[in-house]
Amino acid sequence: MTGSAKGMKRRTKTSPSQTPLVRLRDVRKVYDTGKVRIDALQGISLDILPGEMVMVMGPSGCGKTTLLNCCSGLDEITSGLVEVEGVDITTMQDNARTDYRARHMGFIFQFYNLLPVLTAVENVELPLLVAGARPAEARQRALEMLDQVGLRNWQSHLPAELSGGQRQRVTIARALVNSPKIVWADEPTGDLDTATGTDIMDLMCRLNRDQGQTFVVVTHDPEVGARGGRMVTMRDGAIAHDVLLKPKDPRHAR
Amino acid sequence: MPVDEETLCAAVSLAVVILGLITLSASRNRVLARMGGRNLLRRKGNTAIIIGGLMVGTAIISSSFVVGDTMDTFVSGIVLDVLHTTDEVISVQDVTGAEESFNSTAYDALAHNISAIPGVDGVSPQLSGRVAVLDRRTELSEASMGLFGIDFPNGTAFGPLRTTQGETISSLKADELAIASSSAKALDAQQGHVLTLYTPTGPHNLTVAAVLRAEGRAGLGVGIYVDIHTAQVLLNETGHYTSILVSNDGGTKGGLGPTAKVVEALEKVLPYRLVISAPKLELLAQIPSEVLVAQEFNGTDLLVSALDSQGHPTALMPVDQQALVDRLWASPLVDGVALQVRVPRLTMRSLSPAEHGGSVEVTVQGFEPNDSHALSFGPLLQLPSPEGPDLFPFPLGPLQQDQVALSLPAARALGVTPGEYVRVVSDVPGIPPRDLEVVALVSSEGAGSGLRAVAYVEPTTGQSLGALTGPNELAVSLLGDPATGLQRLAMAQFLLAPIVGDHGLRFYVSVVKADQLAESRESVSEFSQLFLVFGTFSIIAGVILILNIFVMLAEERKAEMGMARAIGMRRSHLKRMYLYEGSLYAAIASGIGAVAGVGIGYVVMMAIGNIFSASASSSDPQFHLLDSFTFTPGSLVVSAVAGMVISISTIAIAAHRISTLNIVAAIRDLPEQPPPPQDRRLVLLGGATALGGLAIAAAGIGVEQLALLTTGIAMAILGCALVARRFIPDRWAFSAAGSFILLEWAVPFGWWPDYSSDIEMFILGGLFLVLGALLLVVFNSRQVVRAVMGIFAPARRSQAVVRSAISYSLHSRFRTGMTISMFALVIFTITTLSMIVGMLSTNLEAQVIEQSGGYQIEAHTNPLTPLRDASTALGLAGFGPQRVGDLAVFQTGEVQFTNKRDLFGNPWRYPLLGVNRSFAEGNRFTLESHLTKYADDRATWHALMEEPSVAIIDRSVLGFEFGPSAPYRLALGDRVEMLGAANQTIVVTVIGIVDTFLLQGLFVQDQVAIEGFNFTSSSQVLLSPATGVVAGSLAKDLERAFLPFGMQVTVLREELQTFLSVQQQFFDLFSAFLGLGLIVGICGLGIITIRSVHERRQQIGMLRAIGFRRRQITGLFLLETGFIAVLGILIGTALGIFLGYQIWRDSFEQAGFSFVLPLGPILWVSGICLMMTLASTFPPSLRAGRVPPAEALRYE
Repeated sequence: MTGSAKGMKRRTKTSPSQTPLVRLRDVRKVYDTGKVRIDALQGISLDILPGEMVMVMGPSGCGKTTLLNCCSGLDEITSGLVEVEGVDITTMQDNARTDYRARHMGFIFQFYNLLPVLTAVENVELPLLVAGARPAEARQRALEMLDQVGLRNWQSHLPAELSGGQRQRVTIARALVNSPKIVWADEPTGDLDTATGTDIMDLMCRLNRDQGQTFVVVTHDPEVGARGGRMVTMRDGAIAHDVLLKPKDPRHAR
Repeated sequence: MPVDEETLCAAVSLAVVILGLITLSASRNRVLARMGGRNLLRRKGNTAIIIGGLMVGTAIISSSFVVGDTMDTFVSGIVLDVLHTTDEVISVQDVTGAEESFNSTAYDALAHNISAIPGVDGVSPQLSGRVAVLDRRTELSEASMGLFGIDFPNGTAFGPLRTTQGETISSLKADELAIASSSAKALDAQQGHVLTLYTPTGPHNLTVAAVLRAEGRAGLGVGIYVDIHTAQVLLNETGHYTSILVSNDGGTKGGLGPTAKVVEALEKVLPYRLVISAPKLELLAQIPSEVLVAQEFNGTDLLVSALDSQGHPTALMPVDQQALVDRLWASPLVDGVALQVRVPRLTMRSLSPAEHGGSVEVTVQGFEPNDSHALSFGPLLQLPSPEGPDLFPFPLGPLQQDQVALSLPAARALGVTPGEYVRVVSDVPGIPPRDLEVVALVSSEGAGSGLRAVAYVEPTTGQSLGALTGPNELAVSLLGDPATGLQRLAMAQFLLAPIVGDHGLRFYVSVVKADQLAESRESVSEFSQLFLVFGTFSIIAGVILILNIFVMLAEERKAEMGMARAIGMRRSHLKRMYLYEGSLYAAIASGIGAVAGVGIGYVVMMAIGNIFSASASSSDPQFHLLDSFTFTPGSLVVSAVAGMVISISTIAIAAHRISTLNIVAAIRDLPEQPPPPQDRRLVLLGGATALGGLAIAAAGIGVEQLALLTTGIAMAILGCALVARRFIPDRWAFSAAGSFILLEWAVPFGWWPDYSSDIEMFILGGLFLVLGALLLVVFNSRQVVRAVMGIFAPARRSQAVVRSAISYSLHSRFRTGMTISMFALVIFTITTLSMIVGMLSTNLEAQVIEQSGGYQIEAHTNPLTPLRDASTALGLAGFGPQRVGDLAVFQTGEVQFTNKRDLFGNPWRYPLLGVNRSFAEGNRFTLESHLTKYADDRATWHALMEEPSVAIIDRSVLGFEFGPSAPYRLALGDRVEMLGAANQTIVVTVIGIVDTFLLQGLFVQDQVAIEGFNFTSSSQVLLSPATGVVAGSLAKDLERAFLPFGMQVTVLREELQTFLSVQQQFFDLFSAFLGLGLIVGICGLGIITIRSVHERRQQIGMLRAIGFRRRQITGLFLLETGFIAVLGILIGTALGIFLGYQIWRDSFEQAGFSFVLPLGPILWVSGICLMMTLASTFPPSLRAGRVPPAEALRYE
């Protein structure tokens, strides 16, 4: 695991034998409206190894979400390199990048972003269907995922009929249903109360620990940040700290 | 259909009240008003869309007004142009009501008196008739053309005759004529051409002195004009006229003003007419019992009544009273004559305490009971009082003024007994009500009435009640027993008619200008209302759009409304805020809509003008409708107010719905939950709706009104569903309701044969069928999604898109339901119209056969110049078997039914058609019905040839399902009595009714026509061309060959094709008008898509994140709106086919029409509709696909 950035205060050591799942080199993102120019990311370099649970923290407007969007291919970068599994996603056409996301990535959002008109299981199976899976297989896999997140019995409920925590669990199931290499989570507990938030983090940590699922979690909640294996702190579009954490709770140790 | 002052005042008052109340309320709630006003300016794009949606209803109403105004101007223009300064026309009727010419001396005697009437500025005689015409140079002919004899120079004041060069014609020589432009065109006639006119006096050659401009008398562009003396010679009417034209002061338009006063004065100047009637025969037509009828009238066999020129009872002049009595007494048939006062149809009301009450229409009969009367007419007998000494009826004593004796039916209806008072009210203005004391009840024995409500008074009382100056009627008693031989009455009536008729000419005043203007306005009003009826669906679509727009506005502002509620704003505040905002939209939209309607009206009038021009194959100026294009400010104001009322009412409903939002749900942007099943208010509402529906249905059964019955049943079903959801799931309750409503409309219309219905059933049918289908679809959305997913199963990669799109569509039940119904209603109407047109067009052959009995050509001559032996005449003229195939020759003439009167009480004259055996056995006319004792149509025709006492009659005697009723009615099995050539009574029984409008008449054996009526010639034949002969050229040759007989030939197929083509074009026009509704629906979907993209930006971002491509996002939105449109189209099409099938089953199947499903037009309209929908939703859908995912996910 390596991390480098302008103004980085601490460099952590990683094993050279491990190939990074995600590799960022000198990634810059500039928002230029013609009148205003904002350097959202200022030459970020970062490696994320398989099985890591990286918590990205920092104050509002420091570029956390922009970093996540650029890493996941949701947003274009101004310059630099973003490689996922050795593939440069910045040079891909939109369709290819979209298909790549569908097959290899999962997403968890603060406001769940479930389709209100689909039931829990239908929401979960959506990424599989869009990737062209057989409907029956997709349904089977979606049910398995709902089982994993403890919502098998809620499969036929619409999002409006679920609590916030349940909705976020459905989102996690949806993010994991296509067995992604990496799951990007943007403030996954931001819209939840503390207990439910802890519950959701427990679930994510368990998946990380038991299945080796790689997570990159953007959060501004220090408690949530402390649950990861590695904490990247950002400030003004650059990585300020990149540290490996000792898990407080032995249950979360890898 | 110009808006009258009352309507305009009412509309303006309504607008002032509504806007006044809203303004008053707004001034008391300034903060809310300010918020509403600022919301208006918040998003200008939205405001424009909302105003666009709101103005649709106003524009449609306004356009139908504009159509009415223009048509009114156009038709009134023709009426005024043709009549020019002619305001009244006086003609003469014979005793049987037929018009006849009169001697010029009568005109000379009257002209001075008429001229002296204040308000009259011109009088002129006229003689008109019809002739066949041949242009000798062009050899073109016309079988029947109007011939008008003008009294130069006075006559031209009644409509100038101007040549195409603009010169006024002031005289024509005896061998000259002037011809109107269209007639000249038909003959290719020009100035100097010689025309041969075939008249009753033979052919006459006249030279064309001028071709007339289509204005004034020649305004319709047809007819030949000659000097009146020339016309008298040509029409064999030397010294005779057919009418007197009267012009009022004030010119063409201003002449209408003094009409009422002039007519009143004319009545005084003109002699009254006498009508001889046989009341016993009239009653016998209603009550088929000779005994009862004879008893009812006793000795009164005939009545000779004096009627003024308007048909009202009038007093006989003293000199006539004596002359008539003397002349009638002199007849050997008569054994009694009595003068009496008889005023029909007065209203009598009881003045007794309320428990009696009641009013009745009575005939007041005033005469002195005396010995001479009693001898010949039978005495009036008074019923004994229960308390009195008499046991049996005794003669009624003399009555005093203000006393009345009542027949028993009158007394029973009023609930009065002797000693009580009644009030008699006349509907003639100026006659005050009069209170009379009931002094006796009259027995039905003697001359008293036992069946009718009759009030007997002394003569002066009767006169005052009828505003008469003396007796108005003579009762005539004939020799013989009153109780037997009613048949002799018809003959007596016929024989005595000349005696009565000799009294004088029966002048009749037609208030032509006022009446024709009123009639044209009536028909214009009906025509423009048709547009309003078809526009109703578009107006409903507009209302739905308004609801949709406001619900969407509310959804957009949900969070802020929730906050407002949280900080203390009441529901009523929210409601008011939306009402203020909505009222501003409505006021602006109604103004713009009214003006936009003028544009739509212009386009509609352009289309109507094209249809008229094409169908008339004429470039005559009268078809240049757009020249008359106009609209009145009143029409615009009324339509603006109507549109505003519709908009504000809809907004009020939407505001109420919005105000009921749940605060927490609003703040957290959670979807609104349906009301819980336990909601008592809904259960109560359901119960009330069900009971109300049942009450309406019961009322519908009571008054036999189909609209009330069906609406009531549908309401009851919906009410039951609302109650049922308390116990069963919504899906079951509303699916059942939808199914039952569809079933209700599946009931054949024939189940309710006696129920009255009109075009409103079409609108109701559309609304309820769509509602039923919608309930089924919306409450079974999951099943619908599953079904659609099944269709798309092979396209695996599309599954995610399809599921998301359809789920979104069916998730918002209200919004989607409303939008689907907009499409379904319009497509439903277009489909039904297409099916009707399709069935009529495709079954042209069946219609030709049905209407023509298998013959292809109908030919008729001028009735005055019939063919003696039609078969031989045709053969000699070169129309033998080599050119003519089937031939049906009728022995024709006109007869009078002596035992029948039309609905207005006039004598019923009817054509008689004597048919031969080959026609009876070979024709393919369908019988509408026949007596059951005949096995089928063929057996009925066969019976006609076997039994001289039977007849078949055409279907016009049945009246029409829609439109004006026939003035006469006959039913199967009725007996018809006619006076034969030898004054013998000929009686036939109607055994069948033939289903054609082509031939009008009573079909009898040819022997009956020849021997009974001496009808030995034919004025009408039916024929088919021989194999290889073209019908069109045969028709032209026939017209040319029989020009001297004025033969007019119609090729039935061509006639029907032209008719169908016009019908098709009008249906197309109505469909185009309906298209406005589609545009509303499409705009609605466009708005929904724009809003959806806006609302769902985050979801779009998420979908892009999890793998949806741009194209798939665009497809998702297109599919979502396309699905709604397709569902609406499918529902509308299915229901349209359903109703079309019903119409076919009830109206067309019996006529042998095959069921036709015109898929072409339906698919074309549906395809266009779908394409337009996709085109309108494509731009926002494309934008949705282009939304950068990262940006969308940040969007709040």
